[in-house]
Amino acid sequence: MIFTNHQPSLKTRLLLTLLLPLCGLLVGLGLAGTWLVHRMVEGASDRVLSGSLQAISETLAMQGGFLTIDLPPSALGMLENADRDNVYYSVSYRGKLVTGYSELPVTGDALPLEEITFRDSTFRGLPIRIASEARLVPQLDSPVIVQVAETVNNRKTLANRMLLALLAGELFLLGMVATLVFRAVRWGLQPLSILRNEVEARNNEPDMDFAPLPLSMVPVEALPFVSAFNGLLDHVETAFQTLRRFTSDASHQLRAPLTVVRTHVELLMRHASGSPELHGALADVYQAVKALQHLMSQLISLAKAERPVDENDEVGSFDLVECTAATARSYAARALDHDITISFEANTEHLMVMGHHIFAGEMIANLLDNAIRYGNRGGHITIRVLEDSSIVEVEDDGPGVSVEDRERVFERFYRLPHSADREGSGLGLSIVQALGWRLGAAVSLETPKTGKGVKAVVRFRSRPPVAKANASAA
Amino acid sequence: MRLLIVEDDAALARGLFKVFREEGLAVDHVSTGQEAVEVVRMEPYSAVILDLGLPDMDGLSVLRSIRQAHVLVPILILTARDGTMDRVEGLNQGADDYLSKPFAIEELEARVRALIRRGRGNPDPVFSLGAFRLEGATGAAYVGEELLDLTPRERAVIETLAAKHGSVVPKSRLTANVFGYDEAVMPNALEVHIARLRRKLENSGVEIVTLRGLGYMLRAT
Repeated sequence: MIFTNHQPSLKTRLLLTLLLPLCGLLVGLGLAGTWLVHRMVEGASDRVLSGSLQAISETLAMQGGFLTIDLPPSALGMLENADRDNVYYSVSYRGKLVTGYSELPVTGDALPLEEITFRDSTFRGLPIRIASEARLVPQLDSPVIVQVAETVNNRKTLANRMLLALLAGELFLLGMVATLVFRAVRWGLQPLSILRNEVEARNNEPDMDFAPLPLSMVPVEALPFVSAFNGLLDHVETAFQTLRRFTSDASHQLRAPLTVVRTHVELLMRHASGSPELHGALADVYQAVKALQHLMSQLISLAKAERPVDENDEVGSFDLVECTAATARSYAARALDHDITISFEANTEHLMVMGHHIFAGEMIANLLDNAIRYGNRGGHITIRVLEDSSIVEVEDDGPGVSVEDRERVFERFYRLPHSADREGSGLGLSIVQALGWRLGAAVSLETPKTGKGVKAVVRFRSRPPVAKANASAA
Repeated sequence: MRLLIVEDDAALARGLFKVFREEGLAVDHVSTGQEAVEVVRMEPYSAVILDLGLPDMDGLSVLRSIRQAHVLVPILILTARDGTMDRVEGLNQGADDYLSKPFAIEELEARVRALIRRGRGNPDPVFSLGAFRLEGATGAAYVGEELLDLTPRERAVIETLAAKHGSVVPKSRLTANVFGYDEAVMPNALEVHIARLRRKLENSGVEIVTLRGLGYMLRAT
């Protein structure tokens, strides 16, 4: 099916309405998460750093006039970790380095006493984090400034890991939502696709089925639509039936006046004592009346063939050989009048097939009528019943039907260009096809072995063998 | 001989009126069922043509009323419908023949003639087609004025074919009529008789056509 200019699909709509806000939300979540991760990592790392600082500064003491410091291995060991952040320290008093790395910048600001402050800086070109404390040592008038610093590799790595985990989580969530939307839409639309299959199956049926669609499978949201569609079906069916009835009724009504015309024309032809022109005109009128009569009876036949299948169509079986031979016999005189001979061949004496013999007879009659009507004078028609596939063939040696036209000739009122001079309604094959649908028989046109004319092939439904039926019943 | 036409369509009635007057019949025409039921009891008609589509009452009821009044006149019904139900119903109600509109005048004439003959208990004993003539009572066959010399089997063949002339008589039926059911028959025995008959019927205006697989037909050439 081809859609042009169509609305975005439900999937697209749902994805757009759901995924765009979700993306926004995830970005917000990501930003907040990033901020939080940085804070947490900073806080945790700073606590460790401050622990080291305190461990060092606790050991500051004056011994014999000297400021002493005892660097406990644990103080720096605390800072050691897998990622081997470098650890630096310095102790200074009144701006002068007492011990440690002289390059470690000492803040010039007045540090609050007995309180640890943190700041970022660089050391030998690398970013570092410094913890500083100004501690009062007894016997000293100025506070001693103790600093511990570490490079920030570890905390960066930690933060990156956490951020990656956050990102992965978000992407996973996004993927899950998209997948769920697809599945939900498909699942939600499943009843509709079942309905579509139902409608499509009906489209492919030859006999239109206007029965309402079943509502049991329909979700509540689609119920008004399906109900409305069922209403439409009902309307179409009424219109369809009215049209068929009209065709049939109108044709019946036309018969009465046509009978009058025909009677008087025949009378006039008997007694016309006028000019040759009058005779010619009367003959033309008579031909036209006969053509009209044929058309009407064909219209009635078509209307009957297309009538919906009802309980009168009880499926029985009949002898296809007998039915075909009887039909052929009834057309023999007409064929001879057209200087056409008929022969009948059957490779079996009896052949039971499914359906009603009246319909089958009418199908074969229409095929014979065509073969006679469009056949050449001096021609021959062969009718065959073949047992193997329950086939009836009507083969003529007339002008034939080209391969391109073999579909179109089944259309109503379609007539081949070379047969325009023959009196025909253009309905014969439409009737054959409609009756075929009714009988479950397939009709096709083929080229005869001789290469001349056309061969109409009707494949009937063969009757299931009795033995088999019994076996399945047992 | 009198013919009654029961037809509400005045134009058709005028046409039929003319046709049968030319046939030499005295023709009466009524256009309602009521009139038909009344008039048919008073006048001695030889045949009635009854249209089933009448304005005042259903044609089948007219038929019933006529038969209930013990009027035995042969009745041919005309109908604009060709449903088998109509025909079966009509024949069940006592109609003698049936024709659906529109029809060919010759056919209506032939059927009315047959009805009248049947009503007189005197079916036409002579079959004639072209220059060929077959007398039912004696079985004598003529081409023109010349009496044909036929064997009994040939006579059986021509009688069977003449009874159904213009239609195909299946070979099995012909064989049964000519040889009887119990006789052992050579496969081509029938063809032999037909071939001889064909020679005798040359230039008679009729021919016996073989329709392979279907049977034989007697028809005018």
